[in-house]
Amino acid sequence: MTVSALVLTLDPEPVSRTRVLERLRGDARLCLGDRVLDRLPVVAMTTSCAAGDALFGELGAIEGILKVDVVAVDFSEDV
Amino acid sequence: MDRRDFLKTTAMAAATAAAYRLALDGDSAAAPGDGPPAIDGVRWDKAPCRFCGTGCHVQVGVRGGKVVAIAGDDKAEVNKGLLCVKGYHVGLALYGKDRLTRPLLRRNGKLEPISWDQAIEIVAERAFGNPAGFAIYGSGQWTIPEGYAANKLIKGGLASNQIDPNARLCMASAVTGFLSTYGVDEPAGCYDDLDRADVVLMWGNNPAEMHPILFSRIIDRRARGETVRLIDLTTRRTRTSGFCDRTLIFKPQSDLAIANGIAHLLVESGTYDRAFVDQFCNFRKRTDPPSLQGDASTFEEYRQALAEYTPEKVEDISGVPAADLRMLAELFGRRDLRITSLWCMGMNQHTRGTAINDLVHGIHLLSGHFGKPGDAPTSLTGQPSACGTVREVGTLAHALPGGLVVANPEHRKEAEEIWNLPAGRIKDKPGYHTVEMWKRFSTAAEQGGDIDTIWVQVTNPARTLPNASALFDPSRRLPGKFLIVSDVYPTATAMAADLVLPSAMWVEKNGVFGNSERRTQQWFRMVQPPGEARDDCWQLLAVARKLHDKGLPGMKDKDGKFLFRIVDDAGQEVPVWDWRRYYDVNVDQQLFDEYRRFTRFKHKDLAPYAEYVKARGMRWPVVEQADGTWRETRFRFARFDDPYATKADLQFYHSVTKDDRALIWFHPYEPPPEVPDAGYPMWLCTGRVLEHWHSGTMTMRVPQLQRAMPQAYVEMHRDDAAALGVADGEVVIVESRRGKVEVPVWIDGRGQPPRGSVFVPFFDETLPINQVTLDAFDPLSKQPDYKKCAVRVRRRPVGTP
Amino acid sequence: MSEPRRTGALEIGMVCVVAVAIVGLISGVRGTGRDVRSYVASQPAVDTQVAARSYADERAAAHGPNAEAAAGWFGGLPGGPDPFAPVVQSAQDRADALARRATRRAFDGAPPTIPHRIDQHGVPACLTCHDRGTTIAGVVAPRMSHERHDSCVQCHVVATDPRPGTVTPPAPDNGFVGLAAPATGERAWPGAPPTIPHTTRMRERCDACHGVYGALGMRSSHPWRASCLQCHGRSAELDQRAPVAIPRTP
Ligand code: SF4
Repeated sequence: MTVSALVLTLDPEPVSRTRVLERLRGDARLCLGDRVLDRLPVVAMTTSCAAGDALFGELGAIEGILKVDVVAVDFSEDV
Repeated sequence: MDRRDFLKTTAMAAATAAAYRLALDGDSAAAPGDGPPAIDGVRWDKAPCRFCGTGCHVQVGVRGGKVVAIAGDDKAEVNKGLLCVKGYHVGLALYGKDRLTRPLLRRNGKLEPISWDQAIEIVAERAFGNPAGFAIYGSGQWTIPEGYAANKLIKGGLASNQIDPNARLCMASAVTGFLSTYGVDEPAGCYDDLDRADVVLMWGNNPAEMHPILFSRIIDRRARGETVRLIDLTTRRTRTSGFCDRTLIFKPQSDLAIANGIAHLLVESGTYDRAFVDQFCNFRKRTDPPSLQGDASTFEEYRQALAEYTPEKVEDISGVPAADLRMLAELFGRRDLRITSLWCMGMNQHTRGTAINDLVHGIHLLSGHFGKPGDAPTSLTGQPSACGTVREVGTLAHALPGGLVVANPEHRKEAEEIWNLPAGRIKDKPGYHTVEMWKRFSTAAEQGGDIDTIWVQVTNPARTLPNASALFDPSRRLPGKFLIVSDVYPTATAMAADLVLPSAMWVEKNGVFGNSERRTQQWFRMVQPPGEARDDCWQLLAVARKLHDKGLPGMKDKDGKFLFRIVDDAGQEVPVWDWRRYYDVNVDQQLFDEYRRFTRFKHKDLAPYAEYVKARGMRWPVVEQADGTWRETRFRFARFDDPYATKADLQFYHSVTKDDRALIWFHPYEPPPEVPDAGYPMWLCTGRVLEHWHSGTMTMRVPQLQRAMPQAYVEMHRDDAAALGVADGEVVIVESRRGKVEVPVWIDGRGQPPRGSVFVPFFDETLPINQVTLDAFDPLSKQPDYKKCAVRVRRRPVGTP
Repeated sequence: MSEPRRTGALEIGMVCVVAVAIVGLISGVRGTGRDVRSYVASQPAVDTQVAARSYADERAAAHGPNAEAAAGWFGGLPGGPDPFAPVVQSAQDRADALARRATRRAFDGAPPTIPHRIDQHGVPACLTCHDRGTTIAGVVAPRMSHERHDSCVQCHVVATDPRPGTVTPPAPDNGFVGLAAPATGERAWPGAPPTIPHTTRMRERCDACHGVYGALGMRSSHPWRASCLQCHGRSAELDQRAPVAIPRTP
């Protein structure tokens, strides 16, 4: 299990923002924090480091997410 | 909680912290957990107001890296949540569209952008080439660390003492008044007196406009059903007069006679407080030439000197009816009333400023209206840190930090020890006071103009020096004179400069101010300065380092270390002269804690910086208690509150006469240096208005303030206007022997001058009234008189557009 | 209920009479001040001179939103607004009210500027109308939202050049963007009393904006209830009542 702390920069446009939030809420791997203006703190839990990497790419590709910042990653449970 | 939950929580905390930091413009100060919570993304933090010496605390609302709102700070004792209109709009002062954002150098008559490296090099070259001719002209709006750094740079580094502040023009006479009366500067009382006084006497003071919060603090007591009597001694009716029980209009300069008249009546009727005088006072008379120490005198001598100031004679000199003088003397003669006197520029900007300050202290001492809450002679300051940065840090040509002076070898030794300098580094000869400094800067080198560079920070001398056309303007035409200006807007001074340095202001930097009631107030940087603007303190440190690198010996202490050695937690030097590293550590904290060591000499003890972070300011002396807490002092010299007064109920422990007593002075009435005559038949008084701060460089850029008072005017009595045949709004010429200005008439105006006198506010940079004012000054304080000179008012020739 | 209401109306009537008296006094005093043309008559005429207004002109002169007021001082006298009258207001009314509000302050929480002339050199008689709130000729003088402070002009300044007869220089260019008024308060469930979305500092008197003299769109549906905080919660943070945060280590 890999735990990553991420910050997503959201598009300020409200419609796209709602769409993005809905989509993120539906993703079981993600736990969403309290948004600060256009920044959304997120914790991602993936089965492996590689899966985490893939998720990073996936998030970056979502329309309405302008940027993904990686704050910290915990590999300690990786085998 | 299992391990996974734990990891998740930690990760979320990290992500949230990062989100805050990213969202709020990379400002690490805004991370959660160490500040108040954000609602609507707005973070609130405390800061003292940028403007006046009242020293209110505001709450600054910041969102997205910008100030978006201001509120009064409920936890602040000074203002208890209320502000004046300037304070509510202080946040807008940062966002005028023409902020200076790049260093500018004058080339072929034009100011052109250059890099910071070039700019610092140029400043350093000027100081390196001729350290003795390099002066700093500072300000009561400097923060304490800024003023301290400048003072150390000049006195400890360049070893020249050529530093003086604009506060010379606003409160130097208050300083000399305190020194000559108590032997140590700054008021004994504090604002708490205003909550308790039964009578508040205002000497040439208009607090309704200039210290609005203090004024409300008094008059709001009436709304609560308390009785407080307000008496306005003034040369023109002001907004304050409207709230006063009595308004006594006196002729300019005659405050000296009024004070003597009151003292005379107290002595003659025997209503003075004999026990108080016997126990706590000595008498003093003037020397020739005048000095702060004076000569010993006796009650009998004092009484005889006062004898001629009968109510009738005083009425003659001042125009205040004898009956009203008796009324004032009766009030002072009563023991059951508490009386507070307030004054500011009216008494300080006075060619007999020291004398009138002494006399007002004297009346309070003579009548025993001193040292109990509500019984106090209290001078107010105009600038937010005139007390903190000028009087306490000693950024005056003759002073050292903590109330020490360069002329005293012991004091120099103490300073050299704290600064770790070789013995003899600090020179004993005071530098030039403000008027002299600018006179020499405006005089060619061959004719004795030995100041060739002035570095101005946080002030606008082109508009605020008296008789500016003689003191400022010539320097701009003389070869070899180089003017450096650090400022935030293209002020008249900046636009006349050879080198302009863009500065950070207020909450764009860390800072510490000291207000009128000895209260030291700290704040943190909350937003980034625009463009390449940088802290004034950094500018000073960068120049010092450049001089160090050029090999100027003064930039090293006696161990060969840099004069401004700023270190990290591990004790390693941090190169804060590199702007990118400046905020790696809290430079303010280190400078402040070093400065603190000076404050114990004169019992002006300050607490460590960290204590001020927690407080809404604390009033010195701040003394550590047995339990490790820090206690402020509200009433100095009074045993019930001041930990240093231990011997008697009142102990003036810095007494001039070394016997713990204060001095009651006699000074005669003397006429002003210039009085109206046939050629120039009217009095001119200058001053401020509620909406604007000094020369208006900040407040005139705030729409709400500028709309409310968009331009200067000349206030005139209706009969004078009639005699001249001018109507409201007509532009007239106000001129003196020194200069003139064209300004619209406002009959009566905000205030109402008596016949034969006019008033012009100085906030308007485009209508520079200080081309007209007089540069005569008090012999001791060297403070000029902006409040009275002779002018004539003329209509403009027919056909003038 | 009719008894107390009648008293209220009477008092408001009295307030207006006093207001008229005082305003009349001020205009009278100042009016003669401006009328200096007679002095000028003996002097050579100057083209550029701005004509001063006379006392007689004063009534007809525009006074910002109070422009029409002089024509009908007594219009507001009979009876105050009925607190029991149903309030009909729309979202548009609210938007309009907020927009109007925004033009008079630099940010939400700033003291509003004064949209009419005041006595500049005396103590303006603000409280005559604004202590209680009143309507004069259809123009509402709202009740002040905070406790009584007597030096009103310390915080509230006029919005236009107070000097008669002068040419006003252009306004400065300033890039400040002020905090906007907040959205409506939160309700725990539909029908629950909403929380107060703004600070109550200097806004302790809810009826200043939400009472009978409030702008349409911002009015309470039940202005007769006086103990607002009984049902509507305040925010401790917005009111600076939150526990003191641990100061940041410097
Ligand atoms: S009284 Fe002075 S310190 Fe207080 S808000 Fe006004 S300008 Fe600022």
